[in-house]
This record gives sequence, C-alpha cells and structure tokens, in this order.
Amino acid sequence: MNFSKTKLFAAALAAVFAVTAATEASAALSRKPQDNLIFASTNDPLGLDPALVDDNDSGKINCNIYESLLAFEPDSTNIKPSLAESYTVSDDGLTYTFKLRQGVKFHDGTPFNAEAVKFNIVRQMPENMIPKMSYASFVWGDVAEVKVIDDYTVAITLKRRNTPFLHNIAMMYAAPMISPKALQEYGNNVMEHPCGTGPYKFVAWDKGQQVILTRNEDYWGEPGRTANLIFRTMPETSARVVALNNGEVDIINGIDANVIPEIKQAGNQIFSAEGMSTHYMFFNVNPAQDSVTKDKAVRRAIAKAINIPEMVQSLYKGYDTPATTILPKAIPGYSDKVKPVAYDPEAAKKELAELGVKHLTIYTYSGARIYNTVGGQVLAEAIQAYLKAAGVESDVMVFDWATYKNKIITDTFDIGFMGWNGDNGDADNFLGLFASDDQINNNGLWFNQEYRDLLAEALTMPDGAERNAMYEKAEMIIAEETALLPLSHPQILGAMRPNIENFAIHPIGLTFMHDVVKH
Amino acid sequence: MLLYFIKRLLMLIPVLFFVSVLVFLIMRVFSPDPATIVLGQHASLEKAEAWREQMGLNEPIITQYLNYMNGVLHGDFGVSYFTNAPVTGELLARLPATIELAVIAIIIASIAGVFFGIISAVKKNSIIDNFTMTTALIGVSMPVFWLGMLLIICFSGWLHWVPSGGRIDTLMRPMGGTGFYFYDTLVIGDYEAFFNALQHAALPAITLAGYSMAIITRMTRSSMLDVLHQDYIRTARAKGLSSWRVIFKHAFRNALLPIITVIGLQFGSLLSGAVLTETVFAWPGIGAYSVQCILRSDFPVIQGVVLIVAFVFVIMNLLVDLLYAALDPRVKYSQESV
Repeated sequence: MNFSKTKLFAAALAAVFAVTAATEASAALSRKPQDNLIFASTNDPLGLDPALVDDNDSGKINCNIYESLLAFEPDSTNIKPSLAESYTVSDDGLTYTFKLRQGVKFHDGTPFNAEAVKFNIVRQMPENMIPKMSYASFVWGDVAEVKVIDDYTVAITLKRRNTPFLHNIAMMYAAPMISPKALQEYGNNVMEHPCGTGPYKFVAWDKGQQVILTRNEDYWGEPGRTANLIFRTMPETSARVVALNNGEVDIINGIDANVIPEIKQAGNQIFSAEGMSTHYMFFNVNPAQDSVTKDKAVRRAIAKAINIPEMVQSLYKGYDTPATTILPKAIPGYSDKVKPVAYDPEAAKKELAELGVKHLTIYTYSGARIYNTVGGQVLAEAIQAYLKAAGVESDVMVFDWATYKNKIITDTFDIGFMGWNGDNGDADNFLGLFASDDQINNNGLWFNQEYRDLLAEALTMPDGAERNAMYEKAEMIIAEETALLPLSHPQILGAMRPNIENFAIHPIGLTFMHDVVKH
Repeated sequence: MLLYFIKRLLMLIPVLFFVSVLVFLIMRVFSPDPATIVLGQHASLEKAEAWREQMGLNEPIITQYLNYMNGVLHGDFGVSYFTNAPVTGELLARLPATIELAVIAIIIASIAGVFFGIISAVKKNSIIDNFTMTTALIGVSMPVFWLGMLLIICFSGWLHWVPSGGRIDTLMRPMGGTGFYFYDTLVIGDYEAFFNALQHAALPAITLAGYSMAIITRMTRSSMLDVLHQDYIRTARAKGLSSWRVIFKHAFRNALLPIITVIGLQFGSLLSGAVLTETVFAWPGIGAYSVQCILRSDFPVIQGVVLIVAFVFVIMNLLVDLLYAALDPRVKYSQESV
C-alpha cells in the first residue's frame, strides 16, 4: 500500500514537472506597447483555413496571413497583382494564364509555385470538395482544368466564360493559397495551423480569447509595420468600448451609432466608410403559395406606403444610406437612373383598399445582423406602422435566425427581410441571387425570364459599359416589378485610439493591417 | 462507504442517460434545421442536403442517438457544425478558464457568505442583520449581466483599477502549460503575469460570487439560527464558555451541513459555466462559448456542454453527501442507507 502511494506521489510529481517544463513565459514576443496592435471584435474566428470558413471574423485575420493570386485595391474591389505578377486571358475568354511571383515562400518554408496553386485549386474541385467549403464552388466552380506550364506559370481553363472570375480569385474565402505541406501534415484542414505567404504569420490561438500573429520577416514585399497583431474576442459592445477608451485595446469593430458619442468624447477616432452590402425587404411571390403579394399591384401599393429614407434615418441614425437599388454605389453597374416606387401614402391607402388588402403577415428574425444593427423585430415594427397608416393591419412573427431561415422556405407569409454582403465587387454577386430557383437565395421565389436572360448574358460579357448597361436594365426590372424593396446600404464602422495610423476597413469588411502603425 | 460510493456512481448512469435523451430530442427534433445557417451566405438547398447527409442527420433519430452515444462513451462528443473541430477539444481548451474563475468565485462567496451569515444570526434583528439580509436579497435578485456591466463601467471605465475583460494581458500569457494561468505563471516565476491575471479575474469573480454569496449568507443565517436555539447551546453558555467558542465550536460546526450542501451545489453551478458573467467579461470559458454556440445553433457543442454540466452537478452532489460523513460522525453510509 505504501509502495503504491509512493509511486502515485512520484507520478504526480513527474506530471507537475513535465507541465512546468512545458510552460514558458511569452517572452519571445516583445511586450512593448507600440509593438503590439490589439484589435477587439465580437466573435472568435470560426477557423483559420480560408477554404473552410465564410465568416468575417475569420476573414479579417486570414487576410493578414494569406494571399491570393490577385488582390483588391485598398479602398475598392478593383483588382491588382498579388502572388500572380501578371495574367493573360485567351481570346475565347476561357483560359487564364498567370505568371507567378518568384522567391515567395510559405511561412513553413515551402516554396510558392505553380504546383502549390494547382494543389490549392484541386483541393476544392467538386470531386474533393466537402460541404463546409461554402465558397469553393463560387470561386473555383467553373474551373475545368489547372495546368502547370512551368514552375512559375499556371494556366486555369474554365468550362464557360465567367467575367467575375478574376474578382473571385482576389477574395479571402476559398481563393487564398495555403502551404501544400501544411495541408498534408494537418489532414487537409489548417483551421488551427494556418500557413500562408502573407505579411504576418501565426503564433497562437487561445480559444475564445485571442489570435496572435507576428511579423513575417521573410515576406516578399515590404514587411508589416507593426511587430505583432493581436485579435481579441470581446463579445459585449459596452465592454469593447470601455477597453478602447481605457487603452486596453487599440481598435474595435462591431459598434453602432449609439456608442459613437462616448468613443469620441474619450478622444478616440471613428472610422466609417461606405460598405458593400445591401439590406432589403422581399415579397413572397412563391407560385405554390397563397400570398396576396404575388400580385404586382399589391407590391407596388405596399412600396408606396413606406418612406424608406425617413425610416432608415430614424433606425440607423445616419450611419446607413437609404437604398434605391440592390447594388451599392461602388459596384460597376450601379445606376442612379433606377428609381424605386416613390413614397405616396395617400395613393398607397387608396390602392390597397381597392385591392382589398386588409391584413399582411410579416416574418422577421430576432437579433441584429451585420446589415441591420437594430435587429429584425424593430425593423418589422417600423414597416408595420407604415402599413397601419395605409389602412393595413399586419402580424409580425419573430423567430431566431435559424428558425427564420427555415420558416421562410416552408411557411406562407407576405413580407420578409434579408441582406447580402458583397463578396467580390461584381454586380452578378448581388443580382444573381434573384435569378436562382433556390429559395435559400431567391427567398421570395420571384421569377422573371427577361431578368434571368439578362443576368446569364452579362455574366459572360467582358467588363465595361455594355455589361454595366445590362445590369442597369436588370435593376430597372426589379424596380418595375417591385420584386423586392431595397432598404439600406450599411456603413462600415470601427473605432481606434488616437495613436493609430493608416487603419481602414476594406469595403468588403476585411482589415489588412500591413501598413497600420501604433505610435 | 466504498459500496455506497460505487452505488452512487452507478446511479449516475440513469441520470445521465435521461439527460442525454432529453437534450438530444430537444436539439434534433424540436430545434430548427441548422443546415442553411451552417453553410453561410452561399448556402443552397442542394449543399444543405449534402451537408445533412454528411453529418448523418438524415438517419432515423434512434440511429443518430445511438451513434452519438457510442461516440460519447468513447470520449467523442462529435464535431462542431461550424468549425469542424472536435467538441471534446473545444471544451477542454476552455475548461481551465471556467474552473479557475469558479474556484476564485466560490472562495470569495464562501468566506464572505459564511462570515455575513454568522454575524447576521448572532446579531439577529439588529441593523447589521437587516443590512446584510437586504444586501443578500439584492445579490439574489440583481441580474448578473447588469452587475457585471456596472462593475466594468465603475472600476474599469471610471477608476481604471482593473481591466475590462479577458484573462490576462496578451503578451503575459504563459505559453504551453496547464491552461490554469495562476498556476502556470507561478510555476515559471512570472509574478508580474500572476498579478496581471489576478487583476483580470477580480471583477468577473466578484460578479460571479455575488449570487452564490447571497445564497450562502441566507443559508448560514437560517442554519445558525436553528442551532443557536438548541438546548446544548444554552447549556454551553450556562457552562460559562466564551461567546466565540459557543458560536464557532458548538453552533457553527453543527450548522455546517446545510451550508456545505449549498456551497457544493453553488460550486457545481459555477463550474458548469457562468454563461452571462463570462460573456460580459470576455472570459474565455465554457459559458461564453455556450452562448456563442446557442446563438448559432451549434447543436453538438450544446449537447456536449449540457452533458458535462449534468455530470458535474451529479458528482458535486455525491461529493457533498460524502462530506457529510466527514463532518458529522452520526452519518454512516452503510448498504441500508443507500
């Protein structure tokens, strides 16, 4: 008995020593404040493998670790070279040949070359794709063949012409290049072992707490200006604001108009920019269901009842722009010639009475979304008030987000709300939703053959005025049919300490920290 | 005693089985299909169907349950719908933070609760008693979320005494180690980091301790009052024993059983993840993680958390019962007492 107790004690002691030996202070990273840029946001990232995630919390970290063949300009979705120095497109518009940058290495020392590009694309082709690769088919879905011409030349052939392709491969989801060695080592999943070619490399991820990156001293371009980047998770907005005002963190996002005065009062700066997302109300026009909004006249009369600029100003306090079209202004194809149905409460009241519309059912979600910071219920109640003024009673049914997404597929209702965050700066990324038979994308199941033909043709046309004109026409069809009602384009908001320089949030919501300096 | 212990351990099985069936039914039968939100903005009906197939959600519910329980019995709680990471690993990564906070909170709650409870009982109906009981009532009724925000605004925002959230300053975190920062920082002799961790834990621990402290205070007071009216206390006083000796040696020791029960159960509830406190203070434990997973319908994680919480509660109950024997020589656990 004594012997086993002794053994047990010795084992416990050995375990303690083993743990002790494995523990060390974070001395490898400088503790000097100006070397550490701390960015606090609401959620932990889903993961750090850009092929397996689709959330902005992951994207904003990944864009500092990884690079794609092409990249977006700092303040727009115009493309520029990145890991590919140049490219040519064949006359038939199907084959893209990329000349790759030489001398680039992944963070694990693996050379970046044509084989690495092929490895990353083949990983996401239909035969290898897993359902969690939610952007794989969007970015690489049209690829027929990837051919390695030489070490630094790769040719990608598409099954059909696809004009947004170059924009798609500049994205931070599915498109970034990951070290093939790391993917092989970690079982085709680098969610917790990211390894790219970018200006910062991964140090640690303390789950629920922070992701730590440090400068990649072997970066092919100018090295990052701050030594370490720390992405901290702080779910509560008020706690994030206090942390910023105290100087515990340097930058925060996920703020709304209500906290801006407090932040400014503490001497901090507000960052705001036109975002690339759209928030809209859709009508149920599902032919299989019995909804009054299938009638175009009803939809137009409802649209007349709602004063969108007034409602947007009141709900978002000037930090969202009232929308006139689905496309945000920065997207080629946006046109100010597209005019939505004008607000006319008297006409709305009269027409709705004539059409016999006395009651409507509004479906909405409970919480806030990126494109609707006040939440679905507040928005739905605002619409309800406008409808009441037009003599129509309505029921607002509120569901949690998951239930809502299912209910708008299965239930009969009249009005719902949705939003879209632009991925690549291409008009098709927005308008293509409503040319689909898939109810997850085209929620109201609106169908218009002319619209669908226009979208299909525009998708394969080269960028330029002719293509933009087609999207303008498509937008006019949406407005005329009042298939949906564009509500607002949310601004991107962030706040930072006064000693932070060069920080900006990209229109698609990413935060490239390469040039950010902390004084 | 050993037999009792084994029997009590065996009784865990039906309890955990019932909990597992209940949580599985709630998640899989009465909750919405998560496919459309798991797959994000680029979801489609076709992709959603492929995902359901891959995750085994198209199998009959009984088969799904058996597959799940087969995994659980092998220590595998499945993978998170959103991150594809094993739930067991995700929970283990967050467990040290939750345990550390719960231990500090229960120490604060127990010491303060017992102290105030005794004072209240001894000075029954005095100003101190009324003040303590009113404070305890407020402690029980005050929403944790509100108390947490109040403390952050006051002690972090206005006074700048302590940080507003997190467990430790990023660059002071010990690398590797057990994940218990107090222990790890002491082991490597990084006292600056130790005190930094202590500063970070102050507000969440006090917030978390608030409710438990109030419960323990009320229980201590009521238990002490019962005992103080017993004949043997009067006898002790009549024998001329000093007041503190009567209170601590005769009264408190006999009043301890219900207090231990409450402390044990409170510790169980703190260990199971202080959902709101962790969220408010960005404390990276199981509670904050549960909130995130509930909001996005990550069912395998929620199931894992509920099972672990149930397990912790049952074990805490058992430990409290076993403590009875140590505290009260009259309690004997024989076969008949089971």
